[in-house]
Amino acid sequence: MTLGLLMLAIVSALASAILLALSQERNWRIAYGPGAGRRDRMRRIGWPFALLTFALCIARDGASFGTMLGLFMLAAVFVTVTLMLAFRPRWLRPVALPFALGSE
Amino acid sequence: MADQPNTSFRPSMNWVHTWAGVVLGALLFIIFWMGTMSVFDREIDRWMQPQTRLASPAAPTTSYDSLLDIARAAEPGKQLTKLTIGTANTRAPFATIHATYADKTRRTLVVDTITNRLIPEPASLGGTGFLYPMHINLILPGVWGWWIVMFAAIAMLLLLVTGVIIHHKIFADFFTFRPEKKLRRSSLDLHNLSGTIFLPFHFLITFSGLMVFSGWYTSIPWYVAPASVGEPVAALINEADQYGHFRREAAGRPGGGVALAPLVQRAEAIWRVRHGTATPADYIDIDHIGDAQGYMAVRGNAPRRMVSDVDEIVFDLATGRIVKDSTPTTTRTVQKWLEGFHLVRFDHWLIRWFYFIGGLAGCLMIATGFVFWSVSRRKRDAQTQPLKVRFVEALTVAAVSGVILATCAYFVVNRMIPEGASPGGFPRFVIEVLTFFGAWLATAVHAGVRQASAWKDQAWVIAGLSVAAILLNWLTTGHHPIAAINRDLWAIVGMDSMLLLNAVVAIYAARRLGQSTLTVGDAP
Repeated sequence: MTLGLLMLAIVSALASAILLALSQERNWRIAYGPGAGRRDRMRRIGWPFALLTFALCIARDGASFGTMLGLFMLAAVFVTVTLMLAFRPRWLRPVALPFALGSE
Repeated sequence: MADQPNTSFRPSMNWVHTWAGVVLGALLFIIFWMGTMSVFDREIDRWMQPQTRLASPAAPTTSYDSLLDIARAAEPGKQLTKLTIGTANTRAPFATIHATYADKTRRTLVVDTITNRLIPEPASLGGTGFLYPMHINLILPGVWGWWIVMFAAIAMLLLLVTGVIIHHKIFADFFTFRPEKKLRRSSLDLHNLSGTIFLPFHFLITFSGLMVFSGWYTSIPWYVAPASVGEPVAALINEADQYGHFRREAAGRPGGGVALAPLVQRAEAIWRVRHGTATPADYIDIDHIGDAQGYMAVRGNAPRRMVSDVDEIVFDLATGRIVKDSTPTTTRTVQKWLEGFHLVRFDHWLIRWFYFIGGLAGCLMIATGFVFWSVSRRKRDAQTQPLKVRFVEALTVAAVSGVILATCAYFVVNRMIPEGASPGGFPRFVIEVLTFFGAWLATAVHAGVRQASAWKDQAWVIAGLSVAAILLNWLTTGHHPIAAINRDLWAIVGMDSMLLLNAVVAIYAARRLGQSTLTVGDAP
């Protein structure tokens, strides 16, 4: 149960970090290439995922530890996504695909 | 990065950030590094004090009365008057006793609570006896170290706030790291990245660090809380004993003698009901033993709560009655929450590791801030003010890689000198501390001579020392990582893997520095 919640929280945090990163023009270019993504849509999905991360962490560990765990987890995935953008940007491409604008 | 203070707001904040950083960065790095080590201070203890690598007790219960007997037997013929007991827990699987006798003799005893036998006192200060004190007061004599660390913490808050102000686009920094760019740019990226992503942690850890000693600051003799701070706060800080611990004088006539263990169990039962979760006693303070006014204060710490040991129940040892059961004020609970946040005594391994990572991020932020300054200055000032640039660069190397190297040397020498040996007449723990400072001094001299090539040299030495520490631990204790896993010695597994990681990172850094076309005078 707690392991399951932890895994869900990690996935949710990763989704949030990747979407918020790709919603920035510079990162989109690095990960996907020219053109632009559906920036608003990525933000509209990315932020709720950040909130979901906190909810899952609090469900696992209670308010005190859960809030801290959520903060730390988001920090950790932000670092992970930043390093992916720096060294393995193409790994983010699959996430970017559904948000690419048709013809570009 | 203006030399002269600019009167408009953002440039003036930039000026403050730059100069406070350059002047205090070395000190801040040392405090952050030692604090990061202190997250795992008990684990470092287990590694440096192999005789304490015991199996975790299934339950922390101890026959507290037999600890009294052990303390009495340690100094035959002397009257035991005072005893404090740190109970066994998963991270420190033994009881630590501080005994005081009628003639003021003091003894520290370590007791295996499963066999009730004394463990020979380790000839090493380990993490809790050296790295942690370095974090809180730089082991300077008297009150100087405390004041210096306190001002450093205030400076850190100032640096965090000014750092936020001088940044235009905080959120863009979250994902920006460009290792392919020039050193000046990529070090600034790392500085901003580690600074912004961990900002909440860095702010709270610095602020809570200040607040741990809030009682101490306000106990300055001339300080009287002004009425304007409001009654609860004034009451708290004007309290005769800042930490609210129970004290009373001895009666001078014999008494006491109630069995201790049932009293401790009673306190634990009260807390279990009050908090709805198991709250074992973690610290016991017995005073005036054998006197009619003898008492025992029991403090509890629920390992699954953030708040540190706010509960204290005091028993009269003549009657076994409760003489004080603390009900903390709101102010004190807040202070205790901040203290609990800072001291990380709770039992949550994931968060403990995140503290470690957050601490390392703080170290990285300070180090890259330094590198950015040096690289920016080098071109401009190398001709006009070569001494200034050279001095700050040497200071940076000594403060960053020098402290890391000295810490590794501290570990290595611990495993090189056998327990009980005293080369040159010094006990081993003295040699360990001398090695730390000797190695540190050497890195400073080396940095002054070799300038920026010192980074590469010292990275190789750090890698070598880390590997040597792992091998020496294997040779002297037989606990290589696999053996440690089989024996559930997770402290040793963790310590060895961090040393290995340290070696890998150092080798990577050294190779990168070796390949780079940076001229002499360039940092990593």
